[in-house]
Amino acid sequence: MTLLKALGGAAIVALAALTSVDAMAAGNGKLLVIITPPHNNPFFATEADGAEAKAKELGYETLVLSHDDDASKQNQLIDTAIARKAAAIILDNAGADASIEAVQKAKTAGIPSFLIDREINKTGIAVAQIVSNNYQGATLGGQEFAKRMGEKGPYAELTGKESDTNAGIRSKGYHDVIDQFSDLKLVAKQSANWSQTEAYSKMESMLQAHPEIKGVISGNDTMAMGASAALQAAHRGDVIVVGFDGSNDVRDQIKAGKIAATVLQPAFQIAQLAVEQADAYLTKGSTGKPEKQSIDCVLITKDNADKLNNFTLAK
Amino acid sequence: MALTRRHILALFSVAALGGSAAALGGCKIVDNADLKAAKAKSSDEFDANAYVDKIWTSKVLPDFRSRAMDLDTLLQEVAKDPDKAGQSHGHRAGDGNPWTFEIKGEGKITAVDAASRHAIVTVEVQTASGARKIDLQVGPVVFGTALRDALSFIQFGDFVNQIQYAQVSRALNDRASKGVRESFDLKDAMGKTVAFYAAAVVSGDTITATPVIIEPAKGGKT
Repeated sequence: MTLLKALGGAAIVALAALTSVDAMAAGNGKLLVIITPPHNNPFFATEADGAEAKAKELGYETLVLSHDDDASKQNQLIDTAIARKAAAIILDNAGADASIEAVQKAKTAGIPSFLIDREINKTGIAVAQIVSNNYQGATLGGQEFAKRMGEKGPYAELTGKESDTNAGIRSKGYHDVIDQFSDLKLVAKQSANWSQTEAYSKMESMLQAHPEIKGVISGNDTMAMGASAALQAAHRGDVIVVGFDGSNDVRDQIKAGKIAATVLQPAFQIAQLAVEQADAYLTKGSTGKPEKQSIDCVLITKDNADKLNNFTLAK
Repeated sequence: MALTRRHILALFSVAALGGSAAALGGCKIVDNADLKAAKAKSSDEFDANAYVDKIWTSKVLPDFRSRAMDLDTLLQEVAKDPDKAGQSHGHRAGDGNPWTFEIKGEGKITAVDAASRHAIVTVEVQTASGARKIDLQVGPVVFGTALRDALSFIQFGDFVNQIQYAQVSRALNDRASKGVRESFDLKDAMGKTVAFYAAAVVSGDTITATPVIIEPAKGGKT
């Protein structure tokens, strides 16, 4: 009996939860749910800010969430978006394969998804996938790295999260350039999963194993920041560091001469484009653009660092 | 009592099912067929060189022969309205990107940097606005994605991901460099007048282009 009571109690709680979800869902169909990786990386915070600002400008309500790079949490957030009867989802996803199901689920529930920054390995389920031209950007970073290294010397590479296509594509872009210079020798390569703290400790251990390192090429800016901090702590300010993203943190390090270069991904622009296309799709039935779109990146060095702010380069 | 127990069990199994469904909802569930399909199309198994070999003589070269814009004419259109010129003659993979064009032109070779692996042949083309320098990247190292981006029949959306799309760019550059270097002798190129077909972003004083064909100019001495 106690068991039955407990079950009954649970049922009532569940009913109450359902009711409140229904109450919330009675919105005006103008809700944009914006889901990105964690905002402790300013890149993702900027994306969310850009999307939110554009959504408000176009008269949408917004719900800004983070999946913390966890595919199962992402799945729950998609459920939330479905329960709230979102008009559309703006998503920087948690994995090229793992996210296919989540985007499909939203589509089945009648909610279009607009992907930014990261792609999924399937077309036809998201309405748009707008990504940076990571390969082009990485070849720019690779060229600058080779130049600053004087085309020779031992170097290390920090790569991003393996489940993210961007980690692989940037590494490929770097190597398509750097490997052409036979005197540039890769002595250590590790993933720091896009994380600053992880990059700091990985850099420390790589430096212990290979004190001869002259340069570090990093798959993103947060890892470049971690590597740079570890190098400064080890009094190795001479090591050439190149990042990728174009964050204000790295911009300041470039101006201070501590990081050589980074590659700007127009994160703010991409997020705003996605919202504009969501609006076009919702109001006119079409974005007028192909699903897959690639936006070019720009090399940032001491020469143009002054013009960079919040992932946007002033003209 | 037996009935009640069965009810409880039923309730339990429903609760358990609901619970597990919710829990599973958090996992990545891919059925075998999809997984196999995805794997068959994964970057590791995509052969970009084979893809490029298949389209090179049947599509890429004919596209350049028929669609490439005369550089002088194009420069005049770009000067008037870059976006209009881009929309009518160019191609790009995303809004805000520079337009990429298939160009053709004739001119005298004024510099040859054959020592670098990123070898450059500079051609001076006479245009309405004066002489323009075109740096033809003859490779074997060719930078950039201009060649891929200029071909309107190669779409980002046709590939599983950026990795495949990038592999296609690399394979196109390699194929272009191979063809140009085989048919064109860098050693005594200096001072010759040539005709070229190339892919390029048209901006700046010097235009860097990826050539697919360099041949003796018609009527010009070689």
